Amino acid sequence: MTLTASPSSTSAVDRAAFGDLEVSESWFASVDHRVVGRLLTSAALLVGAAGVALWALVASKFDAAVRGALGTSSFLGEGTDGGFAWLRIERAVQSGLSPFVVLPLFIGIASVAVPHQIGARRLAFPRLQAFVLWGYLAATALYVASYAVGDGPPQINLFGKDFLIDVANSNRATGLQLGSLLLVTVLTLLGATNIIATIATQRPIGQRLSKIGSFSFASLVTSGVLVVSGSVFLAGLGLLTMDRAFDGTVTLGEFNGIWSHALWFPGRPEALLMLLPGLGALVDIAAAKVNAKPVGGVLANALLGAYGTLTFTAWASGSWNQSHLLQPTSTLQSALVVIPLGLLLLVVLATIGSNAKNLKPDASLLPAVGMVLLVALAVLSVVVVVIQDVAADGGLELWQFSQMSLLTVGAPILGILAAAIEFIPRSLGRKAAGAPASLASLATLGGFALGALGVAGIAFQNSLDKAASALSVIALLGGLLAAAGLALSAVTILGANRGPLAPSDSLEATN
Amino acid sequence: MSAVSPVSVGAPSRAGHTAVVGASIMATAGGVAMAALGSFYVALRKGAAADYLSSTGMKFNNYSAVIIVFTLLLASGAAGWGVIAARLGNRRWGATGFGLAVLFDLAALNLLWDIGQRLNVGVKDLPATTMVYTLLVAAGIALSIGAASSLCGLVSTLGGHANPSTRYHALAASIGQHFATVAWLVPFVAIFLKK
Repeated sequence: MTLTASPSSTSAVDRAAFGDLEVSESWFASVDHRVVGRLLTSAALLVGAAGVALWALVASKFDAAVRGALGTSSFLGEGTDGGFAWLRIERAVQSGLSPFVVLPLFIGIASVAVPHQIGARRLAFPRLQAFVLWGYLAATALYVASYAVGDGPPQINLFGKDFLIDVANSNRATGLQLGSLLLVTVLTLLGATNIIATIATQRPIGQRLSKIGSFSFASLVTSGVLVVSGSVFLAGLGLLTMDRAFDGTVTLGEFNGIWSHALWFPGRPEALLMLLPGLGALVDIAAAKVNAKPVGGVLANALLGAYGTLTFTAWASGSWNQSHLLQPTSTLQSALVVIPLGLLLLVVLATIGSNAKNLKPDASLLPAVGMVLLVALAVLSVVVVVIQDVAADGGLELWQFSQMSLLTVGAPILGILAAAIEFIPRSLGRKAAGAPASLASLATLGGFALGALGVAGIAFQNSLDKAASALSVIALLGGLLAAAGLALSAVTILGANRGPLAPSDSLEATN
Repeated sequence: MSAVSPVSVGAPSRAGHTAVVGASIMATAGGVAMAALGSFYVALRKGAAADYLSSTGMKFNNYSAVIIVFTLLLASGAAGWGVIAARLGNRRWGATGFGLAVLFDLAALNLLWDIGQRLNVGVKDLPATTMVYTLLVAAGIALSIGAASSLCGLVSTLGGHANPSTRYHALAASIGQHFATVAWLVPFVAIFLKK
């Protein structure tokens, strides 16, 4: 096939790659990792956009009209309006951000980028990833639909300080909600298994594992950690489901340690882990933009491996850390991840500095830098905590949420977006859609930064009475801006196969 | 070079091991989940009196639990036999090995059901009893996965995948069987040995 021909997933090359599998460009029938991965990435982004927008609207009290419509709910409010607890929606969105947005986003982009980067024609199990895609959509629909069953499930909070399932009011909808979480966790495990198997078996013989591209290596480590930590989460969910189904008493809070390590998001390795794919992408993108190899050879991959391994330290703490301001790095052990993180950033800077005169900034560099900025913002909040008491009057939970939204949602999503903008068009032989991708990245970056600053600002004032102040408006606008950025990213990625053809030399830049 | 593929696409890979690698990772994930449940149970029992469970009238059917261990060891052995036969290209013995593994799994499932029936306590009586039932249900799921894996091995062998070049299918199926055997050891040790 020549460069002037339109790239097609039904080409002879692909038919050879997929063997007897039916290769189709149809969204519904395709097993091509580029189609499936793109769809999964876009779907996760759209779900994320809807969730973030819903959270911003529900959690805010930005003016009297909205307060009237939403009842007395606020960022911390416990109020209900006409018997409908808005807090449940707010917490359900927060609890769903990791399993229904960030993790599928990673699986989606890794499905596209990893085979492309390691030189494989396909995933190890193409049909499995298609199953993950459609199963993910079904699980998401179940999670949302659980709120349409009767009065909906009671409060679930796997994200905040008071992690809980409201056991006293559990009902049939609780089963549906837990079922959707179980399903999406199993699918995440299957997707991660596929990524590991692809790197282990589909890369060309002679290509050493330590020398594969940094994003692929980060995906390998991320998937490996996910297989372990996701299994523990699955066990916790299974126990919870059993307990709820038979009105047991395990979930009544007597055995805090189990929940803080198996179910509570900041107490699990995933909270720290999801930054890893973005860090891998950052190394690759920096090297590609200056047309140089990462400084230190395999050092970058070694640091990525160290970061992934250190995420297990999230389990090495007692349940006391639920009330710590700085999540998910509330203990000395879990804060150790800053060492490989800092060294990685130095490697990136050294790589850029090694050939800075050839630096060609483009759309993928923006979200990668944005990820670093959000991490820096989270580090800044540590400094603020040291010099200012923000824990009084309910400020603790707001500060925790601000920190969590930066480190476990905003920064990971931007990092994965950088990988998507860099790798998805390349895998399709296309140029990245520069303007829409940059706009989407800017909106996402600005949205998460504004949202986190707004929420942190309210905590900083040590007063919930200020929740309806200008800071709430900032938080609301931030949430809506981030949602718009995620939605635009989804559309850009879906349309990546319609962009102009890329010259062949640029296709090889990050391979 | 294709416009859609990097330069090195098409180089020889390790694709023959794909099923084995996939089965191993999934077995690892399942093993970690079982180990997590076991550790939850141990954490929950920590500090409790020795007769914490037996005081509720709970009956431990140690005999059946031990028999399940031996039955599953036999199932693993039979599956291993099926793998060796497949590697040697002996379709008949391969099918016999996997067929026996399926039967052993079904027997173990039957015994597990019997243990659950005779526990003599309700699921919600105590947090620990909820954990016991959860572990038994998880073990049942693991045994079902083992039976399904061995059944896949049986079908694969009967379908002509009993030769040295396709032996990986049989090996992947046997990994599912071994997972079931190891998975049962978690509730066996946590519930029946340590009590």
